Parts: sequence; structure tokens; C-alpha cells
Amino acid sequence: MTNETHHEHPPHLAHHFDDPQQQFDAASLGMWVFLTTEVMFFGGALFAYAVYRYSYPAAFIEGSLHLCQGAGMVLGFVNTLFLLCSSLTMVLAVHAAQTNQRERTFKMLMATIVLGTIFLGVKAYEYSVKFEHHLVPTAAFQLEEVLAEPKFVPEGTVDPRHVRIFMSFYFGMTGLHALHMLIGIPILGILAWRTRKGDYSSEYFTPVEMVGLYWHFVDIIWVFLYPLLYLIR
Amino acid sequence: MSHHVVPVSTYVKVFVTLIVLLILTVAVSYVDFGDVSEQMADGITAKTAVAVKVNGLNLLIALVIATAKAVVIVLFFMQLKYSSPLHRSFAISGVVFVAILFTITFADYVVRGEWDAFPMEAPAAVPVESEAD
Repeated sequence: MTNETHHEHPPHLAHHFDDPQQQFDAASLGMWVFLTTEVMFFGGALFAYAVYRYSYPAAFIEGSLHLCQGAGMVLGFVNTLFLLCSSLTMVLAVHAAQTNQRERTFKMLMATIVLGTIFLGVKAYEYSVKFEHHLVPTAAFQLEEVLAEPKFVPEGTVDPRHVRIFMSFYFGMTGLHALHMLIGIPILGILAWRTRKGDYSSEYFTPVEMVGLYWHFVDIIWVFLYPLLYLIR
Repeated sequence: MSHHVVPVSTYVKVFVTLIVLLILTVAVSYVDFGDVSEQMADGITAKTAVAVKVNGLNLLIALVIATAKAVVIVLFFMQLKYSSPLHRSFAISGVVFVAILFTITFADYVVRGEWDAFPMEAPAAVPVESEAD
């Protein structure tokens, strides 16, 4: 390994690495460290949610029912479905890059972008519905009659201020998640463009795999957020 | 790259598993895993009863299913199953740190009394400034 001249290493191999495998491993470990920081990022928010849910369980049930009133139940479920599909298309994109299928890589990346954008669109619609129902935790917050009959939350045991706290968590956590997707989608766009240019092959597709790791992580966050916010009964 | 190519069929199977688990998550949320209706008579017990229900079996089951989905995504989609032990330890470290966060901080909160400015029985009057305790 130490006797190579400058011309013998693959073009994508940076000089401070011995071989492409080491370079890939370094990138991968770096991405996992970043994802660990992200786990702590959301972990803090989830912990705060846990403390408040432990303290005001009825209010959290009430808030969750408000999230699911009308089309909310279907929207939440369908959004989760879209995100899981985007995870599949993302991993298929990585697989296509790994097996040197440039056109397919491009198509799968575009599919991931489309599904991610649909997710954000549905989210935006959900937010607008919350605005209409006065559920946004500002001074204009107003708790109206819950349309879905809560089975065991009797009249008067729920303080609207606690439901407002739940809505703060809803907007905070899903907003943070949506921000992550908003950052990820243009990055996927850049990947798609570079795939079109022919920058990636089975020799070097590290960026595709790394963004894939990020995207799957964002999906995992939603997998936890969905039951914790939408399915409290 | 030396990490081996995972067949597309594996990915599709994982995807199907995820969808099944998603449907399970929703179905299970409708099932009542704790019957505390007889304790709803008086206010203080109601709070405890609801707390037990919400923080009890339903939550645990929802979290177990969510964790199962996360594990499947991490192992197969993020390829941790085919990665070196070094990669796995990096990945698990995140979970370890979150576990430490939850354990120690929750241990504090459960033994406190009323720590919040909006206690359950307070009237819905003017919002109080919450004092940092």
C-alpha cells in the first residue's frame, strides 16, 4: 500500500486515506456520529414530551384526539406510509448506485424527493387545519369541543393550558422533523443532479449512501413521533 | 466497496414488515389495555387512573412496535447488519446516551411534587409566570 505513485489511486480517493474502503468507513462513521448527535437532539425534545405526558395524561389524550379529528387520522397514517415508501426508494437508490445502474439511481432518488415533498405538503395542510381550529399554541389558542368522543376523559378534568402544551410539542417536534426533511430534499436534489452527470458509480457512491443514512434516520424519528403524537388514547 | 450487495428482495421484505408494523401500531392504539373505569369517581384518583392507563401498557406496546420498526430500518436499510462492530458501537452510543438522559432526569421528576406552574386542579385563570425551580 505504501509504494503507490500518485497516478495509481482511483480519482475519488483522497490522499489522506490508504484505500477506498478506509475512506468509505471514515465517511460512514462520521455520518453515524452526526446521527448520534441528532438522536440526542430529538431525545431531549422527546424527554420533555415524556415529562409533560406523565404529568398531564388526560390533556395529552385530548390533544391527540384533536390531531385526529376529521381527516387527521387518515392524514397522519398516510403520511407515515409515504415516508416509509420514501425510505424504500432511498435504499433502492443506494442499491442501484452500488450496482452501477445510473438511470435507476436517478429515478429512485427522484421518487424519494417526490414522496418527501408530498409528506411536507400534507404536513402543511395539517398545520393550516390547526390554524383554523385555533389549536396553535399562541394567545389565540382556544380548545373547542372534541369531535371524537373521548372514552374516559370526563368533562372538566382537562385544563386547556395543558392541551396547549401538547400542541406546542406537536408543532415543535413535527416542525423540527419537517425542517430536517426540508434540508434533506434539496440535498437529494443535488445527489440526483450529480447522478445525472455521472459522478457516481459502483466504485464511488459514498454520498448517496450517506444521505441515505440521514434519510432513514429522519424516517425513524417520524416512526416514533407518529404513535406518540397521533395515537394517544 | 467491500460491503456486500443486499438483494432487492430483502429490502422489499423489510418494507412489507414495516407496513405491517404500521398497521399494527394503529390497530393496537384502539385496543384498551387497562380498565380503570371504576376509579373515575373522584378527581384525584381520576388523575392517577388516567396516568396509569396512558403511561401503562398502551404506551409500552406502542413504543415496542416503534422500536421494532426502528431496529428493522437500522439493521437493513441503514445496513448495520452488514457493518463492522465499530459501526454498530457508534450507532448504539446514541441510544445509550438517550437512555442515560431519560433515566437520570426522569428519576428526578417522578420524586418531585408539583413542579409546574399549571397544576392539574388550578382554575383556568390568567397564565402564571412559571418559576424556574
